[in-house]
Amino acid sequence: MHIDKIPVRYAKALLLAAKEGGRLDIVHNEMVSLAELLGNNPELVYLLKDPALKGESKKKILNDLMGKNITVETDNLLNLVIIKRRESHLPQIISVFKYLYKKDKGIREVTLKTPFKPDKEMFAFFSEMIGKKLKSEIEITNVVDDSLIGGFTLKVDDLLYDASIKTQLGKLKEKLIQRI
Amino acid sequence: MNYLTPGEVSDILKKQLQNYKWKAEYEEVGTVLQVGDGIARIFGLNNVRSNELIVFESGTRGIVLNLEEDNIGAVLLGSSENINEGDMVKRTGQIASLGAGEGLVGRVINSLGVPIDGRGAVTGKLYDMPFERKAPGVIYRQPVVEPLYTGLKPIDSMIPVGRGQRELIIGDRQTGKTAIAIDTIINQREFYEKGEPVYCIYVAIGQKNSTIARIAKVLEEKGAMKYTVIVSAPASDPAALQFYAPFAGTAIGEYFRDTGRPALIIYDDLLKQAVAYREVSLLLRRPPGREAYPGDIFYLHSRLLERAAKIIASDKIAAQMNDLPESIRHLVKGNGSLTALPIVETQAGDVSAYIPTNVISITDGQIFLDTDLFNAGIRPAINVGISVSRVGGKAQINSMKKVAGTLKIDQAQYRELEAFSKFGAELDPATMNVLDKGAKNVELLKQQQYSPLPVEKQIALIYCGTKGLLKDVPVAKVKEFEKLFLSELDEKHPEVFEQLAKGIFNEKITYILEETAGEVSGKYVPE
Repeated sequence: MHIDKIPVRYAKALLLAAKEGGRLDIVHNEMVSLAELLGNNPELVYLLKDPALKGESKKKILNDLMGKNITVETDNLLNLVIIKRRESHLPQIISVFKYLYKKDKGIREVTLKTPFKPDKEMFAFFSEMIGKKLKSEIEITNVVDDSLIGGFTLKVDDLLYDASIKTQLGKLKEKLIQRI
Repeated sequence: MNYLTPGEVSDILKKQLQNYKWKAEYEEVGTVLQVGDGIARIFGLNNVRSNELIVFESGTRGIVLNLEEDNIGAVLLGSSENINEGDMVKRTGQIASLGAGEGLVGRVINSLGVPIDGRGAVTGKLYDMPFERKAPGVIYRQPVVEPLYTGLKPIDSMIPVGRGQRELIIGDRQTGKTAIAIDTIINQREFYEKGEPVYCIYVAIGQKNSTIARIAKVLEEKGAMKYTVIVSAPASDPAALQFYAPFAGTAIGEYFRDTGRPALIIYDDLLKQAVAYREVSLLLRRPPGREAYPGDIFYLHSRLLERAAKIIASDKIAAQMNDLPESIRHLVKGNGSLTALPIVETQAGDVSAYIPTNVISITDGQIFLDTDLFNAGIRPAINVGISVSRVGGKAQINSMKKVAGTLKIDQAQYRELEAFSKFGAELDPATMNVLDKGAKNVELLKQQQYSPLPVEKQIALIYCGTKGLLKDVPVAKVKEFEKLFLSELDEKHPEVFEQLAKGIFNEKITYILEETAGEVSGKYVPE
């Protein structure tokens, strides 16, 4: 999900480098934890964007936060991003990387929207059924949206299966208005 | 009007609910990345087609214009107020189009075909007509053969327009461009009354709502709305609706054209459409060119005006026309036409600006309106010297051709000599004669707004002008002569008008015309 070309370029490069080094999964895990770190600490994002702060200091802060045992690819990415003054793009680079990683591994992102939180059994049933249908590994997220009234919507990549009462009612309304 | 009782409404609803079946289907969706200034950038929708309609979660519609490597650019056809980043966007699988049909006649609609005149939904069957469609190919056309009368003496005599022609109306603001277009629409009432209507489509782009309301009222009063559709994209509409308005109007025109009927479309005006298109293009980050217009601004107008055509007479060949929408395939007939009268406003008479030169080169001629002439009281303020019709001459009826043949040259000669006469030098009788005839012809060609004249009356009058039959009539009395001459002729020799309208022009007619003119002008001879 991106408009800019910059994050795509960096993310693609990281993916290729990690693949070459055979550390794709480790790099992905590091990126996920970095994304969490940035997501949970908005101050950190502001700090990265701060033009007054020197690159070295930014690097030092990131290194301290990430620990010393990071892969050479992640370390290089952080270095490169800071040298090239693209640190403000870091959150987008990570999100594009995650997207490319899933595409590479054939993992399909599934969003299940329900009017209430499904219990464990129901959730497991959905996951199994969808996994079987799609014949691929899936990553399922559940969103609760009570405006659906009933039913569910299922979004797999670009496809949406809408079986919600809200949509049905909407379509019924449209039809009734049209005919009269 | 039939009123339904509540019981009947309940019955209808019950029936509909009983038959209602709904099945969830897979839909393709994308996510809004960025929205603002009437455009949206969307991620996903990988299979979307160019010009496809998309629907945002808020119900607002959009049209896909840019297909890029990792996102798509779309213009919004409504407000962007309820669209947020991260909102879902659905494909409709439908190329931007509107429903055209007989029910549109007499209505005021917006660029999407939705009525805005407060008279309810459009009735009758509507056929899906795409905004963007290829123009008919060479095989499916025929040269311009039938005239399209504007009812204005200077145009029908010197710059004739044929059905299927594209004639540009160009001039500064306040020179009477719209007036010519409206008069032309009003003049088609004659054909409506004969049962062979020329369907008119008036496309108002970027105008004031009050202006559009005024035009609708005038057309209504003159009985012209019975065969007219107004497509309104006022200045308050989003830029996308403004630049799609001519395409919407053309789609309606094509419905009439392809079902074998004549149609007339007026684009008022294309400069404003170009400005709206520039706005959208710049927001979509397309590279700007001259005057910041995008590179395809010429193509925008050429592909639009190329759709005006006279279709071949054979129904069989016409039925195979290229790019026919499936919805009207079974209705296609030959011999239809779409005549286009685009209007372009110039700044301080500068016809060499970008858009005017483009449109001049696309169209089959132009009617140039002059501020100085307008201010001098010569209305319609047509500058005959630089106005031209490249193909309309072929469509002129015989009688008009014979009568008006020398008018243009006469007037050119008069203008040349007029400049000399201002020096006050003594002039020879031949020159005086040319000057006198010219001045009276100028007077004769003047015409009040909203009063188009049938072609046969025009021929009779112009005959008097070109033959110098107004010699004894003072310039100030030419208008009076016109009235008397026409009523006299109508009273005593109504058959002359019938014959002239048919294109017949013989010695008997010239004799009657000269005799009547002599009688009327005799009143002005000083004792």
